[in-house]
Amino acid sequence: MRFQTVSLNGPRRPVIPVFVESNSGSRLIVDGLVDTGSDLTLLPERVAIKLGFDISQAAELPLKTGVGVSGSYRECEVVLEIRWEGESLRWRTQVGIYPGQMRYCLLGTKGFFEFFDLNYSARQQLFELRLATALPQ
Amino acid sequence: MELDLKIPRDVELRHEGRWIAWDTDQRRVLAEGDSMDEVLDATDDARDAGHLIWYHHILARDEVIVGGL
Repeated sequence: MRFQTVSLNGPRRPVIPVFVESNSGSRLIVDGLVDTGSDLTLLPERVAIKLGFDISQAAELPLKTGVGVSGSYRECEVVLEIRWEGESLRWRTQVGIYPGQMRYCLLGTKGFFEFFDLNYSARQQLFELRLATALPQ
Repeated sequence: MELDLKIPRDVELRHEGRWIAWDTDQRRVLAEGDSMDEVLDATDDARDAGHLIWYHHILARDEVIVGGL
């Protein structure tokens, strides 16, 4: 799966549209930043709420960003999907739910890179994802 | 029909620095705002009606991202 990095006029970034699906089948699309520096896949809490997930009983876990910002997240099981050239890949996985504002969802090691290998060339303005293992359904 | 997962560049330029809710079926902006929460709230009815909506932030040209938070 080969994607072009995206930009309006500024820096180009490895971003792909990600379908997020609830247990009831309702879904929406968010922008996912392919982020090798993130330990987990992270979605904003408001998305989880809108899709009907109840994370109120999930344990609150700590997180820190690379520039020192501290916060917390709760774990939640969701179905994610990416599409390219008329095909799609769907998988069920645990993600982190973050209570604050996010510009992008983060596609990190847990929930994403545990299933996909990445070949990234900023110079060529593209990145390639390769399925590394069977996807949990 | 295959879902077109491209938002036209002229749409992005018109909404630079803002969040938009892009209706992938009707291929139009359903709502815009300063936060994802705002556009999520503004499109509750459309989402409940089964529209597949893409919540998309268009970074301003001078905006630099260091991680996603």
